Amino acid sequence: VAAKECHAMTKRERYEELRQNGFLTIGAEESAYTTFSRWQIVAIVAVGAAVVAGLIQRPLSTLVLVNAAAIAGYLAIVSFRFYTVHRGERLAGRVLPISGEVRDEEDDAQLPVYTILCPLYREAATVEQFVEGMARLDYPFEKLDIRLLLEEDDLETQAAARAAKERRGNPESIQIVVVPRGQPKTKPRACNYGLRGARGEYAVIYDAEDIPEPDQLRRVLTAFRRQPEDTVCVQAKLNYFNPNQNLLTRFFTAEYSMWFDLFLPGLFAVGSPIPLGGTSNHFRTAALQGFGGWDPFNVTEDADLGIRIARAGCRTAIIDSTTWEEANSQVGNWIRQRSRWVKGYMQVWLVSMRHPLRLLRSLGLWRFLCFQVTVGGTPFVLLLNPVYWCLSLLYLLSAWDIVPQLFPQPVLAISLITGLIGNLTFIYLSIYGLLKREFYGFVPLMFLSPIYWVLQSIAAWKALYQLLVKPHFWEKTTHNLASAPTGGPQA
Amino acid sequence: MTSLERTSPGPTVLRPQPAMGRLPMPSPSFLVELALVAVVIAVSVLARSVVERAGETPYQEFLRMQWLLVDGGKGLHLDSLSLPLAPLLHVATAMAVGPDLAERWLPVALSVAIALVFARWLLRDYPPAVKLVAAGLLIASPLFYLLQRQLDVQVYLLLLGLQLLALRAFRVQPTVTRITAVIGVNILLSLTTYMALPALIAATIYLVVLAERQREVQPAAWRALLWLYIPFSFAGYLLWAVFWVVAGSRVETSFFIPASSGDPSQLSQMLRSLGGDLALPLLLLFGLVAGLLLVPRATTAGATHRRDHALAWAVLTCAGFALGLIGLQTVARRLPMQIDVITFTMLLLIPAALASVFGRPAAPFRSMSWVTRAVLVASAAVVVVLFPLRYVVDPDSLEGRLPAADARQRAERDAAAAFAGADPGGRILLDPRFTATFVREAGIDPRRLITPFDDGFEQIVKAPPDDVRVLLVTDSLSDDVAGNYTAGRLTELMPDATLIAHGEAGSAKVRAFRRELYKEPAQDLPFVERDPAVSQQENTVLMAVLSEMQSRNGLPVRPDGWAYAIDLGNLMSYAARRGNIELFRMFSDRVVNDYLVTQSDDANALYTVAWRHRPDKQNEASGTTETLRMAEAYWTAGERWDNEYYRRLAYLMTRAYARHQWSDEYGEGWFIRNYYNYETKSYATNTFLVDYAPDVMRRIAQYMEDPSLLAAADKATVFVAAAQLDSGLFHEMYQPEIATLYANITFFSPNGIIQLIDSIEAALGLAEISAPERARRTFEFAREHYRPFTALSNQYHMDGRATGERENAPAVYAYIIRLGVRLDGRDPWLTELVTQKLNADRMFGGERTVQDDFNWFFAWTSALLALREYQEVPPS
Repeated sequence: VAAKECHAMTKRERYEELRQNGFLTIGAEESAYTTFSRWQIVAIVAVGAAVVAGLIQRPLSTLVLVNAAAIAGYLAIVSFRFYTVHRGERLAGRVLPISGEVRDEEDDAQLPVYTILCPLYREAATVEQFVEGMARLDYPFEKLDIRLLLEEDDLETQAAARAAKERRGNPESIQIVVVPRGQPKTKPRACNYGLRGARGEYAVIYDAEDIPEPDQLRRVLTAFRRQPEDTVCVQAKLNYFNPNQNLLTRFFTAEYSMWFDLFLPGLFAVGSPIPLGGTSNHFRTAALQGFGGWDPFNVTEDADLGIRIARAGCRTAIIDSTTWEEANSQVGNWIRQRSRWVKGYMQVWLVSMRHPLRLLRSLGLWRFLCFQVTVGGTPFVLLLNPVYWCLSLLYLLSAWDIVPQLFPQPVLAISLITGLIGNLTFIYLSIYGLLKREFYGFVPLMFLSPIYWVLQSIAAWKALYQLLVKPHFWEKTTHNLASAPTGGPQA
Repeated sequence: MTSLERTSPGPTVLRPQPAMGRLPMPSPSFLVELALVAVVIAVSVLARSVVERAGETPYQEFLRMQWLLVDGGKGLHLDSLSLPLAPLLHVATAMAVGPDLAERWLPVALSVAIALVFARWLLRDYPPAVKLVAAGLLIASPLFYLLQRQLDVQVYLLLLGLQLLALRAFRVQPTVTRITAVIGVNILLSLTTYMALPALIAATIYLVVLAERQREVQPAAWRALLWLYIPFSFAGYLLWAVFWVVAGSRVETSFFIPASSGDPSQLSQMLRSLGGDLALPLLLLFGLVAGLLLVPRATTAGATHRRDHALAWAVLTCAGFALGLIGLQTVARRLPMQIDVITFTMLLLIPAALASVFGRPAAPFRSMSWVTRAVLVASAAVVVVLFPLRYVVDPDSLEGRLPAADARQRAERDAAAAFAGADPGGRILLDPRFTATFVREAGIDPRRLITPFDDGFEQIVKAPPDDVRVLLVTDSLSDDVAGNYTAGRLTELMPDATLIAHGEAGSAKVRAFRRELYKEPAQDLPFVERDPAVSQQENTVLMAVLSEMQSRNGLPVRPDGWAYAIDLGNLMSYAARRGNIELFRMFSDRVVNDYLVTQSDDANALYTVAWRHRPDKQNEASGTTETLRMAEAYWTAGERWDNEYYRRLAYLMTRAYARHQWSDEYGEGWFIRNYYNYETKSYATNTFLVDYAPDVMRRIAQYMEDPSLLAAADKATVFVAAAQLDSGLFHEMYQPEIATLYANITFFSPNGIIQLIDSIEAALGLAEISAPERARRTFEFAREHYRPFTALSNQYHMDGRATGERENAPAVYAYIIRLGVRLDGRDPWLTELVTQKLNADRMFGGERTVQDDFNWFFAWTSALLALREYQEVPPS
């Protein structure tokens, strides 16, 4: 008991410290500081107990029921994915593409100050490249408020940042912000700290290796102007500058092309809450500060912020401008990154679902369902896939008759439709996304997508394990594995 | 905006706006299309009676069935060959507007849609005159309206037109969205018929060729698009195959689709029909080829003109592939493509293609020589005029035209008309086919139906629940295409069914039986006892027999391990006469389970009784004596308890017995063959005199009013009488082949020896009704040769001399007693035989036991029966 109290105290102390120092500006209820609420634990135990009791009393019926529920979930997710993409494509020509030709032309003098937040940790090598990239933006340099967010213990990067600033004559536009030592040492914590002194009317986050399209900020301003006032965030599309590096980067490129070019616009089109992508999220700064910034305990703080924006009744738009990033090219590194993302989605779902009725009231039924399918559905599918692959193999390779029994006629019919059409749909959407991006050479590879899905599921199970064991652990992704851009459209 | 999208020519055409307050004038094309729709609807309505005269197709029955299955809560049931789109469309329409409207108007709507796709969209940019010609070719064909009986082909044609349209749109502006549209159409197309395969292959080649020749977009983009196009266009078939293999219906339904199997005779049929159904399509195909070759390619119209040719080439390629695959199918005997579809495809698509070649611009036509022009004009005239004229001149030629009609539906309609007034209510069991037309015409609620599609149908059909009041049976035993279970058991053999409706057309039969819910009796009858000493004797024998049976698994198993039906027949007759229902049902259950054939694909075997049974072996053959004895036992039970179920069982067995009849080609020779071999499915070629009992046949035939059975009884009487010798004994056997060796000898007895018991048994079958005087002669023979205190000789020469072989077993005395009782009632000699020869003490004398006496069960079961029959007769 004493040990538990001690542990609880430590966590609470950490929480209080974050609040007092301004690293955490949201309430405990909205933070992933606690993974499971009390009633969630009770609910999980109750459902688990019911399933176990069912398995004891009526094992086959229980398994069929669980199976049918899972299949229904699959069906909902596949249908939703297809529907959103379809809607997004219908809308694409009319609302989203704020391309160079249609953006508002404004006098540089009338442009607002734009804050660029760039958290850096042990990335001394990329500081210069990043600052150079920002300088190339089609935006008056003096109107930029570039805030390099550096950890107190990362002296090497601090030195590199100062050198880069000095090389440009110590302009006011570049601010070096040293984030005080503390835990958890995460990107959102640094961002919250950096946001406090932000001067810009608008703010955006870029990672150190990001290469945004030069006119992105101007397009965003146009988008903010054309969208209703309650649009507080604009998400730019992300894609990779090193797609040709290896098979993994090709798959990753296909996934990003589908996610950012098809799915997120689709979510925008159907009015769904949008889980923000890792970078290139542009905000109205005041609104962002009003939301309390990011949750430092959430390992996908961006997705979490997207949901909080929706819960507050505000909107996120998707803009047709791309930021080029580096695709993860090593399997181990990729799994670490992906497990963090999936774990983050689980955290977002758990945090949001602490008060399901409150969430329902704030989002409305449709957006509530969209949230369930988008945020809850993603880890759900990745976790369940291996189970069904195993069942399929068992069915094909063994004479174990339990598998057919798990699929009585109606369940079998729906699961077949879901499985076959679902798989084809996902491959098709991958190809569709690639074609839109003109990655023609990758198209045949998409028929090998199941290999990539296996990796995703491995990462998902790792994420689940980490959620239970070390929920706030930030799997740091190694960057700069690509020596040079390898064939993307920007190359 | 991708490079694919940038290829769009996209000039914006500004159309003049109509002046305010004035209605815009409809364009000539619009008027042509409007007229076309009106004509298609009008002709469809006017031609309905003609089309109906051509008969309904199996596919119409199939769609009806699907709707009834859905309406009855059983869901769609398809198989690998019956592709789902047309059934889904029909069922969805029926759900929306009702089945009658769906059947009547959905095909008309599809005809309109086909005509519009061709005229409005495929020939969109053509002058109204060209549209008129193409539409004229289309709607002048009677096949266009006959096609309304084949919804899947209609849907196929419609989608084929849409596919051409989508492909053309894609070629004009190759974008991902447009290729997606083509893929969507292709997936739908592949779910109509397997003939979509050639269309998909042709379209693929078309795109591959374009990928090589296309100059407007990047080759890499084309190749990427092909990666999207090819696998996903064929995904419909893949999905359907996997879906069906894993989750499909367990009952085949594709027999509704004509010529869908890999019938090896298809190619020859096709060749034969070159002068018939295929004449027009081939003529059109020829015209198309000629057009493509003759019309110069390079014209002032440039790309537009080439595009027009592409449509024709696409149609031609599709037709070529279809013909090739049909040929392949004929060789492989596997692929499931319908020949009808290619006929219709050529017939209905080629006009559009022809029009596209010749329709615009006029320059190529003008540039031809006058001979070429004349040939083309004449060809078109032949097509437009002669082909419809054929049907106008000879309307009967519509009969049997494509798609072929199904005679079964006429039988179903006739049966439905009779059934409507005799419907007893309750549930209806259909076996083996789902007679959709019958159900619809009789106005039956589909929820009442139990069909081969139901779970556990195999069990249901073996033992239908009590609420099943009607059995609807189609066709014959060879009808194995639909159900997994033969209808033969039910057709005329159900013990508890009465025929209430019947329809027949050609070889198709539809019969509805009302199921009579007979019950077996539960109460014993009063025990008739006239002599307590005989009763005691009877009980002692019965106890001994039952005791021996009990130790042999409840059966009278003889030393060779077989339990003979004749012994069980004696016991059943005994139990029926004694009125002991428990005893009777105990034996009856064994008979039904072990001896009586109630489930078999072999109609000849049904309701015969196996002559012997052994649990570890298959029953070998029927026994005519045994079948008749068993029938007699059930008949006796039916009479004693006044129970119709037993009477019907007896009747069915007697009919099964009568199926053993044989007569020669001149109608002179006649006999009941001794057995039917279940394994070799062949009858014996001889007969024994013990195989006859005309009295039993006659009683049953008279009660059931069955003239054929009565005739058989008469023949049996004549036959048995013919076998009687002057001595009063009967020959043992009859075998027609003997006559080929020994002239005029057909009856004979092996070695010239006659068994007395066999002659008594033959006489027993005639004693009461058929020929009592002949039976008396046999009885008198036995009485004359009897000497007190001496065993009766059981074997005699044909002249009546005893062989000296004595038989002390009770069986022969039992048969003499039974014969005597029937002829004279109880007389002192019979009483002497009863007390001395059937004395139960002899059973336990130690000289002959069950183990060493092969006939122990036969002897003592015969004795039991004799004792009972003796007791039943009042003293004279």
